[in-house]
Amino acid sequence: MPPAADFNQTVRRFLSDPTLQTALGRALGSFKGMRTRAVAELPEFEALRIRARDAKNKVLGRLDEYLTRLENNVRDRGGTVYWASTGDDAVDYIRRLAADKKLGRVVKGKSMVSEEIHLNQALEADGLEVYETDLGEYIIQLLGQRPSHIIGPAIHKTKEEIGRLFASKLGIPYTDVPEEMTRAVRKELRARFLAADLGITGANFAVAETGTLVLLENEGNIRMSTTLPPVHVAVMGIEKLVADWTDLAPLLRILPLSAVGQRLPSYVSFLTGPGRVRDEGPREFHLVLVDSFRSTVLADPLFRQMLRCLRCGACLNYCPVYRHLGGHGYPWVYSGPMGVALTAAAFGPQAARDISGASTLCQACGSVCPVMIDLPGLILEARKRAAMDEPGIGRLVDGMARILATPHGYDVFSRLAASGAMAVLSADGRVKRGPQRLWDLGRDRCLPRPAFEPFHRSPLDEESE
Amino acid sequence: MTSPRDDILDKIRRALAVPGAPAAAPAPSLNAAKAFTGDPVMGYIPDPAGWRDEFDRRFIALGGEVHQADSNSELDAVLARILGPLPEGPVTLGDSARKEIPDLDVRILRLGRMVAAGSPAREAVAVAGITSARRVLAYSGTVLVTSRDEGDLGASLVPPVHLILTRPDRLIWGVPDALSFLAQDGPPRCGVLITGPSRTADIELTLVRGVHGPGSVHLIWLGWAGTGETQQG
Repeated sequence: MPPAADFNQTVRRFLSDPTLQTALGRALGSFKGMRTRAVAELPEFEALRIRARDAKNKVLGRLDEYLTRLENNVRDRGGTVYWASTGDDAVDYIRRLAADKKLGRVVKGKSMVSEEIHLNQALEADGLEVYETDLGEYIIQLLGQRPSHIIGPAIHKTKEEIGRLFASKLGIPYTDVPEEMTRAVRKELRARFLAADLGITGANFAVAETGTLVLLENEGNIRMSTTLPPVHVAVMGIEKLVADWTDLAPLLRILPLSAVGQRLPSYVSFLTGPGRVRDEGPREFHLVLVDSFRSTVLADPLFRQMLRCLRCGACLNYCPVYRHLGGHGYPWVYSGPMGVALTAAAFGPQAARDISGASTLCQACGSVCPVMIDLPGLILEARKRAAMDEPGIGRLVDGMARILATPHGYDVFSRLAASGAMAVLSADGRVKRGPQRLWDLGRDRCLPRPAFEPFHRSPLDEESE
Repeated sequence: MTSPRDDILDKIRRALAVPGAPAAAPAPSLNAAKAFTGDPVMGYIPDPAGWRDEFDRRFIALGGEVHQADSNSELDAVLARILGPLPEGPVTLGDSARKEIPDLDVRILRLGRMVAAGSPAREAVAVAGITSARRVLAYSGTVLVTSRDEGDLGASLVPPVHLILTRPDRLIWGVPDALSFLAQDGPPRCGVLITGPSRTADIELTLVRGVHGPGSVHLIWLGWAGTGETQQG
């Protein structure tokens, strides 16, 4: 994970970028609208969420068994399985594979795990030509940025910015017409697909029962990447399993509905091992199973539910914080509510301290999560753990808990707190004195002036007695 | 020294030995809870008599075109209507299409088009690809193509236009039916559920068809009227 930038500065920069704010508002409004319309047509949707959650819980509860079952089935079908304890292990395996087999031209399908492990940078450093082939990812690659949204990597860019980028990097005449830009990319990448000797993708699901990978997309670039090059490498987090085809059904239905309100995307590919005859696909298939932080998250009784995440992006689309920050305001490649919870789970609560503190806890993310992850609860827990990490905070909270547990203690404390708050707030609720952190808190908001008389001592309360 | 595989499996087993936290109540849904008494995975299944209309409606809404050919002459007319306006260039056929209409090559040749043998390089210059659909999903306007028939993967992906031949007995309702069909007797090397044309909205959410796969898809119902003239080979 890159070193944390000054969070407040980052927030101010993004909030004052009108282009970004317009682009995010338009994109997320559209994603939400499409989901809402699709879900409204399906009376079974809430019951489907429960089935999807249960299917993931089932496989996570016996993950070791299902992983070995998957491994055996992939091998039986002629594939190779590599277990990577860390992201670097996964990258090294693919680098060695490319070097041993003299593979130099790579076409890639969109994969969050490959972003997570910085695969492109490592392969390019070895001199390989690497082409992202999803249009959004291709734009991001040309920009040298990371995706700002799981399913819409370039939603923060306007068509004019992309037009200038293509003119400069592809040497085509400037156009800001999306159809013309897309045609130019089709032509550019078609030649790359036909010449590629290695296709790299992620996987949305892997069916342990048969060793089948399931990949969803709209453009056809993943089909190209898994059909044309002679070698296919799929890089997958160990949590992406489903037990069998029966459990796959609710997940396959709910993922595209939650992402962009599609009943099914343009293409759902089911890949079982390498091809055996011409035109059946690659001659070699390698599955790289990446643990990295995942087994650590599994050991956390609260955060292990994050391993159910389908990466649909619904929580991002509904999050008011993401709506204003975009993905680049988050510390890691995973953004939005799922990114906050996953960052805290993978790197510890301090890594997500600022961004978890920015959450409004409005609950929208948990309401739309297709696998019912308690995202608001996890973000609150991340906040709590980050605070408890600070020196003396644990003792302070324990002491407060003892004081507030008695009526007298509560009464005295609330009067003292009210006096203190009145001392630092002006009549209009703005902070007029106090330490820097209090100034930061009050900079853009008016805080309510507390009543000196606590609510439980109010006349209303006495009357009711 | 243990292998990474054993290390990972060992870490997973130790993680699973940690008791789970009590399940938290899920956040209230944004959707009003609706009583649904059927199988939630299948969802609401309408009367099969309406599946064809549902399929056609969804396929067209995605930008596809639906045709019907109940005789050989109607098939020739449909093929001429679709292939006629396309630029010069050959047509590539998947084996499933040849099984569907054994003399399809001849019919294409009669329209003045060459038939290209399936290979990535040939498919890349083809103006259209023709395959059959093993199953057709009314729920989503989807067709299923698999690698069990040689040439089907390329013909359904590489050319800019995809023609799909199918028959009434392939019509099923939803995703679980399609998965059952795929998984029976072991899944093929590759199966693809195709729903509409290749598309993207990655530039300012403007929908553009034909990014890497076909931008135009046509489905031709054969033998819907039951005349038997367009019989499968």
